[in-house]
Amino acid sequence: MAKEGAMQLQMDKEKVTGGIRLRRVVANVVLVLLCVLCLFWFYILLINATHNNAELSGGRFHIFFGKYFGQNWVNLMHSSINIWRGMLNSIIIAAGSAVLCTYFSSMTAYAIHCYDFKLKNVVFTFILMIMTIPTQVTALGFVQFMRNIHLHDTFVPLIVPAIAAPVTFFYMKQYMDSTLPLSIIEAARIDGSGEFRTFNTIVMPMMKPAIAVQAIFTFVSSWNNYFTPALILKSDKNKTLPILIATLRSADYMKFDMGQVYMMIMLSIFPVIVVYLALSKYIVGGVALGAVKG
Amino acid sequence: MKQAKRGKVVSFNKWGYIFLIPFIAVYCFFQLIPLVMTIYYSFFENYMSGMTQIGPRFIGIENYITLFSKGDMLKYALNTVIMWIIGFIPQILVSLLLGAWFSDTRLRLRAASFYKVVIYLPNLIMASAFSMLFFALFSETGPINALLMNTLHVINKPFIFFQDIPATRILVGFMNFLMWFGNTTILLMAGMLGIDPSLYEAAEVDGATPTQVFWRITLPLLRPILVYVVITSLIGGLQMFDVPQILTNGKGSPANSAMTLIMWLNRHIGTSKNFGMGGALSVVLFIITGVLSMVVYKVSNGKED
Amino acid sequence: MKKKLLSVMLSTAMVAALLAGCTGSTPAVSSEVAPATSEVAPVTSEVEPGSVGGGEEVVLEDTGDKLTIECWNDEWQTRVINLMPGYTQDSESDPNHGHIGDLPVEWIVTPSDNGAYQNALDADLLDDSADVDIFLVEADYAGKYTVPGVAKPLGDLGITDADIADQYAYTQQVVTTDGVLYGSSWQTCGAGMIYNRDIAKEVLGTDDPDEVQALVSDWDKWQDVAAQMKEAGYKMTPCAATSYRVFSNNVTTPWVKDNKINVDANIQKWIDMSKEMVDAEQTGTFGLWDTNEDFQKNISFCVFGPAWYFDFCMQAGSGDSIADRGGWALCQGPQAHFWGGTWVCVAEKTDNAATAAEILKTMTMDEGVLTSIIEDYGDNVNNKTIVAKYAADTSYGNDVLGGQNPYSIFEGALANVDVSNMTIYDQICNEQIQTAMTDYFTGKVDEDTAWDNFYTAVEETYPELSR
Repeated sequence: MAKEGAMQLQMDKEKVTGGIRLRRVVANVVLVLLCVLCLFWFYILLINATHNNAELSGGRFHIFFGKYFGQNWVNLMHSSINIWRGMLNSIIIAAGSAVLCTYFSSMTAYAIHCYDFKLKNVVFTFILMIMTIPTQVTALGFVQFMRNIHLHDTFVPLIVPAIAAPVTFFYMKQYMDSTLPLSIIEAARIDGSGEFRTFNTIVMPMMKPAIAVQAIFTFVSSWNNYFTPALILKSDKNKTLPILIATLRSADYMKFDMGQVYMMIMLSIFPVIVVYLALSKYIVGGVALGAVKG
Repeated sequence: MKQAKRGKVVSFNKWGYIFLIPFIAVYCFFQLIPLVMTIYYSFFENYMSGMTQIGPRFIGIENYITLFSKGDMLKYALNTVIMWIIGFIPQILVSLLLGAWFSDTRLRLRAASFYKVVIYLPNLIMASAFSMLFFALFSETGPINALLMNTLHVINKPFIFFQDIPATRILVGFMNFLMWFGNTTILLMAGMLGIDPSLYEAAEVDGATPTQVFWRITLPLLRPILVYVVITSLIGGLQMFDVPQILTNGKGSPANSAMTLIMWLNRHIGTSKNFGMGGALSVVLFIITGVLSMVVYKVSNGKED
Repeated sequence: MKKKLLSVMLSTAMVAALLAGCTGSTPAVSSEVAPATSEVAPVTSEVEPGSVGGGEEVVLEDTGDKLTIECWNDEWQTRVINLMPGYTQDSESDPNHGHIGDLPVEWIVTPSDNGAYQNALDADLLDDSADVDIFLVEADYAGKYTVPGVAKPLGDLGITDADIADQYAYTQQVVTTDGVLYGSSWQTCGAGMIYNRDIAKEVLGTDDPDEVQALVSDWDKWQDVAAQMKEAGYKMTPCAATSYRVFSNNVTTPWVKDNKINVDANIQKWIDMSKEMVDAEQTGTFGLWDTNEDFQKNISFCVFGPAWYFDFCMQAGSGDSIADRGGWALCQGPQAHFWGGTWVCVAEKTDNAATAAEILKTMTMDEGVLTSIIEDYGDNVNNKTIVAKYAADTSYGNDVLGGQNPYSIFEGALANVDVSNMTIYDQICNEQIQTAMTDYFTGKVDEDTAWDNFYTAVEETYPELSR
């Protein structure tokens, strides 16, 4: 059946109609425009990192490269800010959050998706409800509480709470609804696989695209988060990149240097791009999930 | 389906509880406690005047009365919804369109992987850095004004975007669109990857047009993820903060027209740490978003079950 | 069901205990600590403003194992590292750790974005287990911290009237509460009217600071010049906001009286004058920090600002700005005023009072250190004798100002500055009035609506206030 379909498809392709060609042109034009719109900002950040403070002051705008890239780099490296330490801290926190968040959210979603227990609907409704609570609402109470139990100025309050991420859980649950048939789990049970093992060796691999997507989202939002880390982290050795950028931006007027600020923004975007590109193959590569459904 | 499931897995159901332990434990410890404190304090007068703590003094529902009688909660709610819609409508349309293009086997876009990777990139830039760039671009002496004046000759003196109500709102919506449409597309695509390719092949064999495939196959099968996108975007929209906060320097100007509910909340809990009023506002927000999300979820998921 | 109930009860009990813990550990600063302070320094409540009173011997001790300093950037930090005798940095690349003698010093730098600095400082000051010895404050919110129980009166730090005799009075008023002095600054931020020499020559026929000053010596004359500028095709100022500080720092009543928001006549005057000038197209309405082209081309006649404005805002060094060709000059303008500044306070709960007092005294009062600050950093220092010396030095000139010596004008600006009407609410009131009124200037709302928006914003920020 599938083979016949493929053959038919092959025949269709040979007599490609003008309609498809037109649609392809339209799609490519729209996509190229969108890509320009998306990449433009990176270009401008790069351009700005090549200009010095005087050229950038007052929000002046540049379209072409300046000649201060090296100077900005040297200034940043010789400033009192330890950018590499900040990068390491950011990586630990963002990667830690992403790993814990995706693994445990999948686990929670799995519990709701494939087991029937008395409190199931209560728990599910509860998680849906708490998903709607703005983070700003509880932030100050959270910080106060962390102080009381002496966890402030550590990474714990920035990493561990990622285990309970209602939004990621909800995505995993929705994803399982559309792609994870219970028959596979039952088959695993018949083969004598324990529940925990089934989850780790069968369910998790099937969740790869969803995990990749949510890992990126969690990593990026943790990487770019300023609000909570600024309230939690105090000592220099713990500070993350957004806090260091804010430090640069609030430097006193004799040292204020937008060239350095842009250079630092460039540098701090770099690792996220690497992580994103590394994970993006799961998004664009097309893990053929449908196959297991058959 | 449900019947069969219940019959077979009954002995394993205790695992449901076991798998929930990490989430529930961490949630209770790190989030429920601050949350309960927030709700609890919404019934108290409790703020800082300078370095002096006022309260906590139990005042019943007075904070809620103040919330609804004084100030402009409705106006800020409306601002928030307007700016959310300005960003969300193009976002969901573009994402669905891109998703449909990417999943259309006949279209065979050669650079599809490249496009897919690039559209998410704006989300990698910090909101603050992004706003800095936007601000410079649209400032009175920025390149957009130069373009409008000197090249296109549409206007003869600079148009001050950030002092114009529709312009400011559109810019906020546009920034949100740019930052999030890639995200939405990725979510939808991940959902589309889960759709059995043989369904598309079968449809092609039957001679279905791309439009038919989209409406009859893609969209219905995508529904769980679509529901997720709508709900999270709604929640994210009602919690809109970063972009208007930075773009308007925390003021919500002009004339409070870009002031969102969370910016308003921030005003309460910022300087004076007014946990009383902040708590009351949070509870109201929580109820509104909770109800809206449940409605969306029930309406779209309840149909078939 | 029973299980559920039990879990609910458990979590309720847990939260109740936590809440109790929280309220217990948040000290009500003024009520609990204030009496203790008055025991230590019984005389302080009777002293004159600008005086530390006392004269009795104060014995200070270091008992803590490290000295902690909280600030929001490295401005003062660099000055301490380079100029404080006996200060050594632990490592060249790490400015935040050092020693004074054997005592370790740790700097906690929290950027002020989003109120993060004040949040962190508040938490540390109120948290008994956190160590804070010295902290810095800005003029706009200094009053929040210069209260009993938070900052230590200078009299308790062994500082005498003789030590502060040469300071400018306004710098002391900013950190004085109920007659008690709680801090000290090394700098002053006197400001003046910075005007464009080319435009002055063309329209007024002179760019000499004294002659220009005579033409703008009060607001009526200033507005006459604005009309002349308009006729000649120039704007008087790039934006209405630039003159705001001149009015707001010359008010005769405070922003808040008995928890009621009070609008000084001078603020109303700024609003009326600005609206008039915006309508007459003599000034623009955009933000204070966006006035970029005005520093490149001859568009606007003048701005108001202090010394730090030259480098920070006027684009000196960009190669093609007016500042680069020395095209500006400085005069006092219609009213003397100041803008900004940083103050040093010692925390009441310091456990290293001796060293903290030593740093505060040396870094803000020692003549040798202050002279070095002028020489090395170009700050205007808080010492009349030293400033007078530099003001009289004809060989000194500022490049941005075409070689003019600004010290005498900045000094003159400070002579009559009166900050007795500052309140802890100033920062928000000053910000919100400008935001609200910009909508009025641009015609987005009428004046009444603008006022409503202003009052609402302030009341939401400070629940204790009403209109």
